[in-house]
This record gives sequence, structure tokens and C-alpha cells, in this order.
Amino acid sequence: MLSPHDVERLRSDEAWLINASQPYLRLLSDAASPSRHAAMLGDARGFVLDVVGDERSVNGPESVPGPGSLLDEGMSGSNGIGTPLAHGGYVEIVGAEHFIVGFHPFACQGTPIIAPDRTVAGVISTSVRSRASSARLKHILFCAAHGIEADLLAARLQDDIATYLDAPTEDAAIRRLHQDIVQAHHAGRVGLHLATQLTQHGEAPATVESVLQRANACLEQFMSHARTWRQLAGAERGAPTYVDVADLVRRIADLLRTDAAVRRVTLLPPPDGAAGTMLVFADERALGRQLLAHIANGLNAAGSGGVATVAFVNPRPEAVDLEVTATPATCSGHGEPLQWRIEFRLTRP
Amino acid sequence: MTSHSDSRKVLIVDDDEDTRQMLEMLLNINGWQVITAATGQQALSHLSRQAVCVIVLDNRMPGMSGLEVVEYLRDTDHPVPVVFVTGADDVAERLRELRVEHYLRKPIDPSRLLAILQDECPPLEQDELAHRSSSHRSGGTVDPA
Repeated sequence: MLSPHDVERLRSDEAWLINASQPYLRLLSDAASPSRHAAMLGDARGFVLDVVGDERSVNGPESVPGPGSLLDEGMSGSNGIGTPLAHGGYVEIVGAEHFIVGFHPFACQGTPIIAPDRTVAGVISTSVRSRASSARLKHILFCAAHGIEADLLAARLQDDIATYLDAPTEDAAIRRLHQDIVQAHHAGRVGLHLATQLTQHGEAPATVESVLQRANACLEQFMSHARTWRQLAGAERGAPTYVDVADLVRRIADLLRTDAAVRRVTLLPPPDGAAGTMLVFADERALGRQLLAHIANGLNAAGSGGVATVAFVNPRPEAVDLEVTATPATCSGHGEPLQWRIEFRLTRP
Repeated sequence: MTSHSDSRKVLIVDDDEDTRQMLEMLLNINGWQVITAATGQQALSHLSRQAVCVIVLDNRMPGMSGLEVVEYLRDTDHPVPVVFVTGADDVAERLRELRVEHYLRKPIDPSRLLAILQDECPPLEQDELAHRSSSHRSGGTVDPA
């Protein structure tokens, strides 16, 4: 256990994680109420950073360990904070499986929180008195961890915008895409909040689970789009590397899906998996921007009601062409298609 | 005149189906009546036929944007308050000019939205919801304001 001064310093150092996690700890606590419970946040070493729960579990004589307590598995045995960190994934510890006797009345479960750089940022856990309640909270716990991860990534995105998009550049499209990818984060948060309230209202677990699955899918979509967006928005040129151009085209087309829908353009990307792996040796960011501009041109040229088709054509052993075809809508159907092609020289690692 | 039920009716306008449906469920279980629209044009069509207490309005949508919907409402002196929800960071000035009542940046904190709606139009109590539901089944009428 740390001194009060050290606890304060620990919490100050980890304020970024605590701030991102607090709304989710409260949601978990709401979902677990009115039973005795605690929702806990730990750092990557197993130090408890924050606890939200009922008064007896947080401050009573039988309270769970508070901020500053070290629950690393090596020090404290099996528990809902240290064990998920040691195992690198979700863990449930019930009753006497806990090494710490004070935890024996509780069913605990925890799952790591992954930072935007894919390292472990910390761990989130719940401790409740009944195993049935614990099972009910499992999917909310997963979704809350995803919610925190999405919020950490969103904070990084805001920094990126300040860093990369301050100067007037050609990046209006990139800025607009940022608005679009935030939509999935927004939907995920609403879904998690809804699932918590459905749980509180005693809705059927299947209903709650279906909402949580939807919320999780939205959060995962946001994180996938956000990673692609960061790659495109970055100002620095990267060293050339092996890039799967088929995968990059698929991700960029996916990123442009909302933009296409808003412009009422049907965007037809290459079918999933049809192209296989196509390695080129290039700066991924520069290549991504080139592809983005190319496909965005297709959307512009197709216009409202039109169709933009992206396809790999003319495959040869050493090269392949990416073809974007824009077919504008006309009063009588579809107009004359316009086409652009880029050739990619394929390589092997 | 706005009826008692209109004073608890919220119009959600969002082209994203996930957001629209989950917001609708969230507002429903918190006691609001909800109607939804996937485009600005649909929203204006709803508003021409029925009164609502408040609109939760997305900005980037196919066809009419949320800003264009607000401009239309202001031009026609429509009194309905708007909760404007956007991922854009460059619309605040325009929203002030248009006297938009509430502006939330995506991703929103749903608790904040519920608090705003609570202020603008208190939701039906659960027992009142149950009573209204049975009145509708027996062909009852909506309470006047």
C-alpha cells in the first residue's frame, strides 16, 4: 500500500486513464446496483487507481482494496485486477479462488484495457456478491473496456487534429472523414448506456446482449477506422515498407462509406478477399493518401445518384492496376463512365 | 396548441441506423415518446404533420444537412427547440447565429442528453405510460395540455 502522497502522485500520473474510465466505472456500478458491488480500475502494474461502488464495498469495514493498493498477481495472488494482467485477457475469480481472504465473498472478473499503441494501459474489473450478477455484468464489462479504449483513441485523434490539421492544407477531406468516423464511437457509447439501463430495468439478458453486441461492433468499427485515419492524417513521411495494397484499398473504401452515403453515391469496393494479398514496397501514408485522393475523385465524378466502382484489373506477375470507375446518374439512367487507373509494381519481402 | 403527449414527444433525426435505433430505445425506456427520421426532409415532413417537444438533430446526412434543417425552421419561425449533435468542430459560430438551444459534440455523453431532454420536456412517468397504453387500447383520447 502506497502512502497518501504516493497515491496522489500515482493518480495524477494516470489521470488520462482515470478520466477516460470514470464514466464506464459509473455505468458498471449502475448495472450492478442495488447489490453490493465495486467496479475497479487498475494500472498496467496492478495498482488500484479508482473504485466506484456502494458505500459498504468502497468505504465500509469489508471494503475492497482502495486506490494505491497493489493487486499484482505475484504479490496478491489470484484477483480480478492482477490476474487479467498476468494472463493478458479476461479472467473470472470466484470466492475462495481469491488469495486475499477479504475477496472471498465476491465474484470478481476483470479484463485488460489496451492503449492506442497496443500496449496494456490498465485493467477494469467488477466485484459482486453473487455469481449470477457477475455473469450478467460480463458483456457490459467487455463493452466498457472497449469504450475506454475507444475514448483513449479518440483523445489521441484530437491531438492529431491539433498537430496535423492546424495549417490550411489539402486536408479538408481528411477533416471531414474525422467527423464521419466519430459517428461509430457515438453510436457505441449510446449503445453501452442503453445496455446498462436495460440491465437496470431487468430486461431479458438476450436483449441486453444483442444491444451490447451492436455497441461493441460500433466501437470496433470506430477503432479500425480511427487507425486508418491516423495513418492518413500523419504529417511525417514514413520509411518505405511492405504494404498490402488490397487491404489498404479495402480499409480506405470502408473509411469513405459514410462520406459516399452522405453524397448519395454508391461506392462499390473490390470484393473482400477476391484480390488476395498484393504487396508493394512503399511509404504507407503517402500511398494511402494517393489512394484516398483517387477514390474521392471517383465519388466526386459520380455525384449524387451515381456509382463509383473500385476494382483491381489487369493482373500480371509483377504488377496490377487499380481502376476507379465513376458512373454519374442522368435523367435517363446512368451517364458515360469516367475511369482512372494506377499501376502498382508488386514485390515480395 | 400542443397536446399533453406532444410535450413528451422527441424527434430523433439521424441517418445512422445504429444511433437512431439505440437512441430511440434509450429515450423510450426513460419515458419519452419517440419518432425518428433518417433525413432532414423526413424530419420536416414529420414536423409539418405533428408537434414535438424537442428535436435531437444530427448534422451530416444525405440531402439536407442538420444545419439546413435548422435554417429552415428558423426561416419559418418554427418554435421547436433543437439539440444539435455533430462531430464537426467548425459549426459553433453558425449555431450561435441560428440561436440553437443545445449543441453536443460527438461522441455525446448520453446522460447529458437525457438531462437536456428532462429540462426541455419531462418524460412520462412509468405509471402514466401504463395508463396511456391501456387508454389507447380502449380507444381513449390524448389528454389536452
